[in-house]
Amino acid sequence: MTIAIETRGLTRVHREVRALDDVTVQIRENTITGLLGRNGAGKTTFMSLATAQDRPTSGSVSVLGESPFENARILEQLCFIRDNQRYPDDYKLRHALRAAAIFYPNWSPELAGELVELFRIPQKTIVKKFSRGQLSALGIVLGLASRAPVTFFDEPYLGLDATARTYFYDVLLRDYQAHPRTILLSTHLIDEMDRLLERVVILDRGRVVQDAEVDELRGMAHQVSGRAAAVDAYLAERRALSRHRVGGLATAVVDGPMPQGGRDAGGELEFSSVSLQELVAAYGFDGADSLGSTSDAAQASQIDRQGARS
Amino acid sequence: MKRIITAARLHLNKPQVVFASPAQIIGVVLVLSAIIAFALQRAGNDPSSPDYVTGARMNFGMAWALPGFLIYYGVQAVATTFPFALALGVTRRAYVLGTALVNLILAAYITVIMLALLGIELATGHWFFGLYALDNYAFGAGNPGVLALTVFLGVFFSTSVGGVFGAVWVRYGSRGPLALGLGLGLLVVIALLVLAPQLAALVSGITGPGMAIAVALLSLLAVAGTWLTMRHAAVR
Repeated sequence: MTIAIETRGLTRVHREVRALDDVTVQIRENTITGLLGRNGAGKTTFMSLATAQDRPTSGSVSVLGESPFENARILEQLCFIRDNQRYPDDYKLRHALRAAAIFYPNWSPELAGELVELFRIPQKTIVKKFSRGQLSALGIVLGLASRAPVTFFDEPYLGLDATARTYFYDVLLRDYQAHPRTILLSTHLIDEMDRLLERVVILDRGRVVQDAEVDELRGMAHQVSGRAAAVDAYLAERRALSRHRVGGLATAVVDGPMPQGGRDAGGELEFSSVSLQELVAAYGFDGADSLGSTSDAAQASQIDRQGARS
Repeated sequence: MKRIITAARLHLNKPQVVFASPAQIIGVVLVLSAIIAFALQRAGNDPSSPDYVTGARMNFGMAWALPGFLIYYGVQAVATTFPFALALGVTRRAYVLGTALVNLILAAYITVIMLALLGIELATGHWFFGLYALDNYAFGAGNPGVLALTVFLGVFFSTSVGGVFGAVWVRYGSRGPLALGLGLGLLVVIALLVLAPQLAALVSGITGPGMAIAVALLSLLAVAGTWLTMRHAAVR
């Protein structure tokens, strides 16, 4: 297993805010990895640091075995079109495509042409006047057609309609299979994109709360529901990632595999599996329910890390 | 060097901005100068009189028309193209040097245009009717060497200064250019106050070569300032 991106204690502080906090993670080469988490979790900051568009406050990041900062040999293998990417004044579609073709030796004009057709990106409109969806589509075209060895997509679906998103997922998978490369993709549409992902890194408040294979992650938590008292009793010796209470009933996403049989001994509780989306939502849960739970997942992960260090 | 040239190609990706815009500005100034010269002659001024020639050579339209565009060009080359260049995997160093290379190409291009026009102006007896557009005191009153040096350094200086302002905007936001502008203004005022007693002697002592060296050094200082500012700038 080769590592494409490796960070150690990566931290980025913007004034009072710790956008990334002691992140140690490895992104495998030639995999599609999802970077998941709530808004402000640190996803874009992570990508900015990995592509040397920003510098860490402390810690280190290496890409393809070397620090990317001012490292031309590494940077020319990366492509990171931001969700709010700025383009030169008065650029039109053809200028953006021509510019990308200058920098990427594996640039595919055929793929770019196909995607431009699929997304119906206007040829004559100035990029600055593109709609949100058209900007996202342009970012996807540049990212995919670059065939850069390490490609970053930062919420690439923003403003795209359902048809366009489906095109994106299909073409991404097809081109990835034909030309394997490392793809790091941040998203909130987890249910829609989980078929693309092989691994996920879940960030919350700038910290890594999970870093695992998608299949492995699905079995790492379960949901329990029933009378609030019974749920509380069930959670007494377990780690709740999130809890919700409505009247006398409660549900919780619980760390660990589901009990065998799918029911508890007393028959008061019901168990179900959780989707990746539910799991990520649970990790970002702030405990705004009547149980007064705080972010159990974040606390638990911090305790785990402290335990690992000692 | 290959990476610097690649970064330079990004600027040349939209050649109409780099090459067509300055040529159009020069063309418009030439036409406006012709209209004004024609109007002056219609009003009774004799184009063969020494007074007319002296007055016509005070036409600095060509000198003043381009800096606005050039400074804008320098600003946008850094402020809006830089984030896109980084997205495509360019290093900051290659970007700053590639930008400086394009600024030199632009300076050479405009110099060639102006030299060619001066050649036509002189060969045709000032466009056949006493039009002094390039043959003016700002450009050496018909001396091609002075015109070439003045235009080349002037263009490179304008784009480089624009680049510094673009860089401080990228790094510090809208307050950056404001602070830099105020700081430079303050510096000039303090220098004038300090040097006031010797100002007349200093001005009379300024020579062409001295001025050229000063402008060249200031341009290089601007490129170095751009590099130092961009080295730590984060893309927003």
